[in-house]
Amino acid sequence: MCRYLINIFLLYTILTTSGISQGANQFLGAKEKRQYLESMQQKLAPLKQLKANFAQTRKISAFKDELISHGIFYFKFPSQLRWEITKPIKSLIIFNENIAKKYRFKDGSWSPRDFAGAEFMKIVMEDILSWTKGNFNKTSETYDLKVSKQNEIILTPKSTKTTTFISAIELTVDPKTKYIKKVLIKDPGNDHVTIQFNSFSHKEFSDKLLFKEPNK
Amino acid sequence: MKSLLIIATIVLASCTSTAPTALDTFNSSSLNFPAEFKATHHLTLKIKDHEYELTGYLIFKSPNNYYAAAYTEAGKAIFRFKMIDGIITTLNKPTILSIDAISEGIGVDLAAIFSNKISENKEIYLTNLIPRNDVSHPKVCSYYSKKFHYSLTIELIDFSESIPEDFKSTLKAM
Repeated sequence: MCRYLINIFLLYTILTTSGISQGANQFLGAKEKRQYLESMQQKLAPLKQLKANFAQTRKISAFKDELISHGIFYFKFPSQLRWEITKPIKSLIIFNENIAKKYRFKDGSWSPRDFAGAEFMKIVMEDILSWTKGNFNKTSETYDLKVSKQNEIILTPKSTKTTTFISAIELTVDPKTKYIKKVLIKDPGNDHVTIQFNSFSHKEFSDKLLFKEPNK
Repeated sequence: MKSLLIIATIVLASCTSTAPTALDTFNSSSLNFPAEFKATHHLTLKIKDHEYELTGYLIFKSPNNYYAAAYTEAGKAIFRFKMIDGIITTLNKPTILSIDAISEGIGVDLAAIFSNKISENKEIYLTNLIPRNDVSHPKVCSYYSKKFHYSLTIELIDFSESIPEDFKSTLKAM
């Protein structure tokens, strides 16, 4: 009996320390997942605007290097976004009424630029709008969605066309505010991009021209 | 006949207006890039009346080995290609450019520029060079491709002459 108990104890220790049992339980079940997403959407329902600073880090895994850019993100309900990169190259994307426009700051003024990957950028902007409000209904059509017990929403593309450039997206949700505080985009290789948000503010924007074409 | 002449004049004028002017005084030593380096770069590609801007990464080892990548603001890789011993492999490219525009265009152009052998590439000419104060190689380099009719401006933002020792084997494994 004693030997039997020791064996059970050893098996338990091996399973818990190796992560095998954790792996089986790390994601929420279907019911818990639905409740999690509903509570997130409910918490974010009153959100009318949001501003945050961000640091975007692209990891070039093969050469152990990183590309880092910094910027400010503005969201205004229902459909306005401003994605402003302040370093190292000043640029701006304004998404307003389903139209995305890009500008570059050069020689003291903003000028319009073409998008490389315009279709992809529109999808990204629409996704950011939905996710900021905790809405994953449309996302679920194109991604398999899992929620971990560590407040991470894991999105895996269903389409093989998408998996050629994204293998997974991981969103880390702040458990208290339900704001997305980190986005990790994994490439099919080992490269990945991390967007870390901080200094959140939901106060009304004083600048009424944030989502308009910038001054030239 | 007169109308034909007018049309021909207009066509010639429009052709010359799209191609930028070559730098008057230039020789290969103006580039003076070191034998190996890595850098963050900012690219401006002008093609077919469009202008695209991308930020990316470049790692180079003379004479003909390098990896170049450029990304959108959202992080998607638009360009990714590598050259090993002069052979280009395209990993990602924008739809606006053909595979030949990489393998016979930008891919070989970059090798010529960073190897300081641009005068050996007859398909391109330099249109602008902005020197850096602290080093001998330029900070900004612009050229025009006569073969594929694009202008490319490369601005090197962070620059380091230290590259990994296993660079070439890493490149092959990619």
